[in-house]
Amino acid sequence: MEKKVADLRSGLVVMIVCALLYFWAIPAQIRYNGQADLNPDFFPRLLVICGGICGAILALTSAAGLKKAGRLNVTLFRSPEARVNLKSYMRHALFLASALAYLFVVGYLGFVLASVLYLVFLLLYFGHTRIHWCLLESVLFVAAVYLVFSLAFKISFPEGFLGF
Amino acid sequence: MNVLLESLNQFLSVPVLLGIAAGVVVGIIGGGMPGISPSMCIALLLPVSLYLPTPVAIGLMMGSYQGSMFGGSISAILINTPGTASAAATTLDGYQLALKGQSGKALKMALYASCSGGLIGTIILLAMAKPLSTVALKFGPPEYFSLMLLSLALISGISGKSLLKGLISALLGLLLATVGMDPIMGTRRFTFRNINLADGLQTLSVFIGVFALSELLSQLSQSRADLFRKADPLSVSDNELTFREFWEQKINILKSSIIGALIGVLPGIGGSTACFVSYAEAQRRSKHPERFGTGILEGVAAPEAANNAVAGGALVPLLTLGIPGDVVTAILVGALIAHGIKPGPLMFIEDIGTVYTIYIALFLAVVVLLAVGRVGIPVFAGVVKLRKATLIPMIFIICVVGTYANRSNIFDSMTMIVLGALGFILKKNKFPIAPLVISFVIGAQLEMSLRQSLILSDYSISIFLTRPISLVLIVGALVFSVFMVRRNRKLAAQA
Repeated sequence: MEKKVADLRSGLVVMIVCALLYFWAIPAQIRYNGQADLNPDFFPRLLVICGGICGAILALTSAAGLKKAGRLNVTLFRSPEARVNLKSYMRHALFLASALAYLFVVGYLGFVLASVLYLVFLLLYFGHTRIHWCLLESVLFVAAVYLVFSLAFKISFPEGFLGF
Repeated sequence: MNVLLESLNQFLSVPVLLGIAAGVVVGIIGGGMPGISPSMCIALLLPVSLYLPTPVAIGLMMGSYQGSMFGGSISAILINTPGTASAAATTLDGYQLALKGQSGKALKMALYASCSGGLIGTIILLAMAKPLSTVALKFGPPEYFSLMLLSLALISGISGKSLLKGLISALLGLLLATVGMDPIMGTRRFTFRNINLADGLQTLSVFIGVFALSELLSQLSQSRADLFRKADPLSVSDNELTFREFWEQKINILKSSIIGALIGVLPGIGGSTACFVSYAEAQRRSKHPERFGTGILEGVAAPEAANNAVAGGALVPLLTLGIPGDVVTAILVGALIAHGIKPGPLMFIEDIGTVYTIYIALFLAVVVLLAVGRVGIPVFAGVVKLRKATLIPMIFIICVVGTYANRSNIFDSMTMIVLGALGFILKKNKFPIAPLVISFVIGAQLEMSLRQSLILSDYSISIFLTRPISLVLIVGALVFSVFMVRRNRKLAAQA
C-alpha cells in the first residue's frame, strides 16, 4: 500500500511539473521570432505532454488500487505511510549544501586549500575521529589529485589568494 | 588489411598498453568496492580519457569495463557482497567456496572465466557488427527515429519494475537533452539567460551527477557506524586452480559467454540478468544441480563468463546503430564523441580504423586483465577493506575535479550536484536511472530524426507507418510495451 501511495504522489508531482513546464517554463525559456511549422518548442512541448500523460496514468492506476483497497480518502496523505520523513534526509541535505558552499569558496581559497579543508570536514562528518590522520589523508589525496590533473593534463584549477 | 595492421600497430606501444592496464586496475578496484558500479567507475574515468590520445582513451575505457566486471567477483567471494550487480550470482557459490578455504581457487576461476567470457564476447561482436551495420546503412531519419523509440521502450520496460516510471525517466532525459541551442533554428532553450548553459548540459555533469553522486547520496542513507565499518574479508587461500578443473568448465563457460553476449546485444538488460540466466542454465544442464549454492566451481564460472561477455554484446548496437544498449555504453558514446568519433553504421565505411581500434582494445583488455588479475588478486582483495567513510569524501572530490576539468568551469560541478540530487530523488522513488542517461545521450539525434522525418513528409506522421522497417520497429515498440504492462500487472497481482 505504501508503494501505491508513493506512486500516486510521484504521478501527481510529475503532472504538476509538466503543467509548470508547459504553461510557464517553455513560453518563458524558448523565445523565437516568426512562425514555422516546427518551432523550437515543438519537441519540448511534445515531451512534456507525453510526460504529463504518463504521470496521469501513474496517478490514476495508483488511485484505482487504493480505491479498491478502500484507502482513497481525504486523510490519505496524512496517514503515516504517506508521510515523507524529511528528518531522514537531513544528512543528504547537509552534504549537498556543504558541497555547494565548497564550490562557492573554492574560487576564493583556491582548489588545494578549499579541498583539504572540505575533505577534513567530510571525513570527520562521516565518523573519523583522529583529526591529525584526517588532515594527513586529505593533504596527500588532494596533492595527488592536483598534481595529476595540473601537471599531466594541464588543467588550471582556481588559484585563490595562495596562488594554487 | 592495412588498416587493421595500422590499428594493431597503434596498440603495440607502451602508452596504450599502460592505458589499458590502468583501466583494468581502476576497474578491478572500483568493481571490487561494493557501492561503486562499473558505470560509476567509467564515468569517473571519462574526464581523464578526454586528455589522452584516442587509442589510449579507448584502451582505458575498455580496460575499465572488463576490469570492473571481474572486480565485482572479489567482494562477492570474500565478503559475500557483490561489488557490482553483475556479480550477484557469483556470491551464491563463490562465498561458499571461500568458507571452505578455497577462496584462491574461486577467485582464479572467476578470473579465467571472466577472461574467456570477454574473449568470446569480442568474437561475437566481430561476427555480428559488420552484417548489422550493412542493414543499418539503409536506415533514413524515420527508421532511426523508430529504432530509438523501440530502444527507449525496451530500456524503459526492462530497467525498472514499472514501464511508466521508465518512460517518465526517459522523457526527463530527453528533456534535459533539449537544454541549449535548438539544433535546427539555433534558438536558446531552457538556458535561463545563463551563458554556461548555451552549449547545453555537459555530458560529464550528467553522467557523474546521475551515476556517481546519486550513488554517494544513496550510501549516506546508511548509519555512521555502517559507513565507518571495515569489512572483514576471508583471506585469499593459496590453493591453485588446476588446468583440469578449468577445462572441465569449457562447455559451461562457452554457453554462458554466448548467453551473456546475446543478452548484452539487447538494450537495457545488462550483466545482472545475464549472470543469473547463465547460472540457471548451468544448473539446469548440470549432472548434479543440487550442489549449486553449496560452493562449486561451475557456479562461479557461469556468471563470471556471462558478465564479461556482456561487454562485447553491448557494443554491437553502439557500433552498428550508434545507439547505446546500456548505461556503460552510453558513457562510452560520450567518450567517443569527445574524441570526434561518431558511432554508427557509417563508421564501418568512413572510419573502419576506429572500429578495429575498439575491437583490438577490447581484446587486449582481456589479455591485460588476465595478466593483472593473475598477479594482483591478493592485492586487490585488500580493496574490500576500505571504509566507505573514507571513500565517499574522496570520490566526491574526484567527481568535482572530473566535471570541472572538462571546461575549467566550476558551473559544471554545480550542475553535477543538482543532477546528483535529481538522480537521488528519482532512485528513492523507484524511477530507473538507465533510461534517463541513455535518452539524454540519444536525445539530440532523436529530435533531429523526428524533425527531419516530419519535414520530409510535409509534416505528416504517416511517414513512420508507410516505410516497412519503420513500421516494424514501431509495432515492435508497441507490442513490447503491451507485453511489459501485462507482465507488470501480473507481477503486481502476485505480490
